[in-house]
Amino acid sequence: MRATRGAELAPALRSLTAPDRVSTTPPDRLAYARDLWPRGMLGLKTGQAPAHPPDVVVWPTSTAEVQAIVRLAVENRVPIVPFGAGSGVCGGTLPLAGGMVVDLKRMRRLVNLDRASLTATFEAGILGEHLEHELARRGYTLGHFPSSIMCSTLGGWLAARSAGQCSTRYGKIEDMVRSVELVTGTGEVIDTTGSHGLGADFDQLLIGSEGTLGIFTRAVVAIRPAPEARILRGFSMPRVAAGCEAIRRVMQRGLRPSVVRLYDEIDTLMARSSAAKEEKAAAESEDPEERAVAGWLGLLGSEQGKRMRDGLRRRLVGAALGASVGRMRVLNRAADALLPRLSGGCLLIVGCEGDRPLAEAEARATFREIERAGGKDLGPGPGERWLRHRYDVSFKLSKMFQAGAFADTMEVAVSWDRLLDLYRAVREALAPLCFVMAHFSHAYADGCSIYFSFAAAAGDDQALAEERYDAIWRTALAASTSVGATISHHHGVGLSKAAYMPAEHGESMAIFRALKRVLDPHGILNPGKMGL
Amino acid sequence: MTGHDTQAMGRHAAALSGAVGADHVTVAGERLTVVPGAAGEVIEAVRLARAARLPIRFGGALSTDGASVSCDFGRMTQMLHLDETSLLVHVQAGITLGALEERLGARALTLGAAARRSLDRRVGAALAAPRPEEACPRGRFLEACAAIDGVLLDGTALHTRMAPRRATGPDLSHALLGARGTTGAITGAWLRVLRRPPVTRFVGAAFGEGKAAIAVACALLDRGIRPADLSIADGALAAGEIGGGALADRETVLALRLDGMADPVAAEEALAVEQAASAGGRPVSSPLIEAWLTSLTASAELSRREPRLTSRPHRRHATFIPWCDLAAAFAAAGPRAELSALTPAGGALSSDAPITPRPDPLAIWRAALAHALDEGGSLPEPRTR
Ligand SMILES: Cc1cc2nc3c(=O)[nH]c(=O)nc-3n(C[C@H](O)[C@H](O)[C@H](O)COP(=O)(O)OP(=O)(O)OC[C@H]3O[C@@H](n4cnc5c(N)ncnc54)[C@H](O)[C@@H]3O)c2cc1C
Repeated sequence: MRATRGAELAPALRSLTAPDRVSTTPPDRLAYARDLWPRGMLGLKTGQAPAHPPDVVVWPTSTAEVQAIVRLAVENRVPIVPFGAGSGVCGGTLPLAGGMVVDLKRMRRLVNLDRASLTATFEAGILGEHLEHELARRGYTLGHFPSSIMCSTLGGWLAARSAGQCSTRYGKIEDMVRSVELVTGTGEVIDTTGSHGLGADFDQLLIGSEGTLGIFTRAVVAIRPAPEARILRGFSMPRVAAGCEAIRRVMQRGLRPSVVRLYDEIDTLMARSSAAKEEKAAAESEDPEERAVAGWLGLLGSEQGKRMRDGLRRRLVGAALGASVGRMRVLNRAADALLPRLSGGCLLIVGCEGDRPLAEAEARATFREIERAGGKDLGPGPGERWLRHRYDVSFKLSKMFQAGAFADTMEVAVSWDRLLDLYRAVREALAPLCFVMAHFSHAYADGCSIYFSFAAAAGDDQALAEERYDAIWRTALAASTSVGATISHHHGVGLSKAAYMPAEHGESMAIFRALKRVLDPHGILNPGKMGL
Repeated sequence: MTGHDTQAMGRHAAALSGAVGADHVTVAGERLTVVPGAAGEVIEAVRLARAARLPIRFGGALSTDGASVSCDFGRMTQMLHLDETSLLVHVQAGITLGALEERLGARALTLGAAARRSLDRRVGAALAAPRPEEACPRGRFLEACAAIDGVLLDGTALHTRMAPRRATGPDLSHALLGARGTTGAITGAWLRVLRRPPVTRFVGAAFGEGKAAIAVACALLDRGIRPADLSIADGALAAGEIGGGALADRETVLALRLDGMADPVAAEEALAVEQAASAGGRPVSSPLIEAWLTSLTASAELSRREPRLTSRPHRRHATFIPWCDLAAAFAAAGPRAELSALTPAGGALSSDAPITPRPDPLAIWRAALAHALDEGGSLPEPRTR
């Protein structure tokens, strides 16, 4: 590994912070050379050294230290990559030009909890799970539960405009923020406290900047009393379209469910199969509701049907992982043709929470709307199962990679009038290239996000894997933008989507560039990201 | 005169007439007023003003001393597109909230409670210079804006793209939203609209002390209810406007408008009644509350139609106060104090006493952004390493 100018700053950094909070060791530089962008992991799988290690890693413990670090970097024109927990999936923390990685995780305090205003002030490096724990033990919640809650930080959420699983009720992170503290690329501190209510939201010009405009050091967030009641329910929707229509009606009636997740037929099949063990136990249950769910999950209730479905799932996954690109389209077509008959519909999970009487009333109204749109009530089982396993996804990806495959997800969003066009356009475009499934979550009165998951394989051939991976993304984003969707709902842009920013924002990129000139005139913050 | 003599002003007027038509340009001394009819004409006017080194002001913004161009949006009042599937409407910036509300009403749609007190304002003005009272527990009017069309000071036309939410960098529409025209002009907007709610209920309670009414409002929001309106009137205001006869001396009144689906509205109503009673609140009859809350909207409506006939209450200036300071500020606010637009963040306080506007702690950054945008095209691309 080549050590560049950043490493020379290590002694100065040690005196600004502490000797044990600065590292230039190869293991640390290696660890901070990547995030969880699957493309980066393709190289890792074949043992390739990361192309862009940082020269030095530093762990500040206060805003003043962050300021001092930035000023040192400015003086020496050394780039800085702000780092939360590295769970980003877009290459946002890759130190393209070496330099320093500033890891915020030692800034993790709950600074203040204001019960009168229902706000909490946290340092930006606190991990999501710890943040929720701090609030929970005082009887509150932020209501932000990304699947990566155990491995992502408040600063990372702000930087990438994160969305949690209960966003339908509580909003995305940008909706929860009352003010932020940010160290700019000149080492000045912007504190937006007191600007709320004056009209303009300067916060919104900082949030989402992915480390290119400043380093978040603190935020004041709105909190709520922990919900007294949570009511979860599963529904079987005849088709994706009916499921979308149900969600649209619910959201446009002014109802505020906390969870809304509609799985398309393939995703439904996967969700059911992974519940197989629980399902077996449930089938023997005394509880009629649980048995009903197990019956549904068991495909028309018959053992034979269940075997067929499990066989199909195995074949689909197996084929996806082994299939040549040429056979992908056939595979996806077969799934399309068979699934509507075999899957028994799409699974919709809905949840309402809050003060008990309010949550119950909201649930009644919500469930009624879903039934009106053709939903068949499956009872609480599917929802409760989802709740138990809602963070499991975080641990599955590496298994895919070990099996010689790769997988990634694309979360895009569009208004309701074009939602099904978006779903069809992406599936159709990706059909020749990979195995693809989707679920719909993060719903609003004016539109919804679709979360596409795709998987393909290229054995141990890294170059082929990268080529396929890039082709899949190019195709998927082209299909999304062709129907007017945004390129990201909550994962951000980083490096992977940087080239699409001019198309996403058009002339408005002038504003982003003006912000960059004002806040980071020397261009030291996270260079090479976001198309700046 | 700032280097723009009568002859020069005549030349500028002629150039602007070429852009928007001679009927839509007036000259009064050093002040040129243009009344464009479309976004393209606003852009042209901005470019011409920039070329002539004349400052340009938008909407009702006060003109500076010296020569300037004032851009009036009075002709840009079209509703361009209504998407009833996604509940979005695309409008030109000059349409008033009242006129838009009327058009939406014909389709059983509404802009929602946050817009109700500003029916006389133009969409562009309400977005560029929001007022604290343009909010309700469900959010601020500003948040109804899904995308904007506009022009930056350097003449760059821009359209932020519509998306329910996105994670593609900062929300760039906020460079114009709330910027009071310092960074450019809003020429159009995509607004989120709502279906008219099937059920509406009014709940009110009278309290001996303002503090108790505020505590109940706060508790209700904490427990998760989201009324369409949540306002508090002090004793003097309540006696005059809600019904002196029905209220004891100096009683503060808490008023709620609840609307939506029947089940949740009934649950919210029960909760509000219970919470108010447990804090010593005495019920005030629904028709009185309905009449008061409706009169606030009605007076905004009247002022839209007959600006000379009414001047209150929405014309009183309000200031935003966060929850932690609300009780003290309300007590100190002077006669006929009203707390409206209560949201989980705070509320809008107005009274007959003048209220000093709070300084903007971010003014310096906004000014820097405006400066950078003004110089936009002429600066080199930012350096990246
Ligand atoms: C299995 C899995 C599940 C996921 N599920 C979700 C989900 O449900 N919802 C969701 O929104 N995301 C999800 N993500 C993506 C990821 O967790 C989010 O993007 C998260 O916001 C990143 O936080 P982080 O602290 O790990 O940031 P990092 O990955 O460290 O950084 C992300 C970006 O933010 C910048 N940054 C980090 N901290 C700061 C700071 N303090 N100041 C300025 N810039 C900073 C970095 O420079 C980088 O550009 C998931 C990821 C994985 C791997």
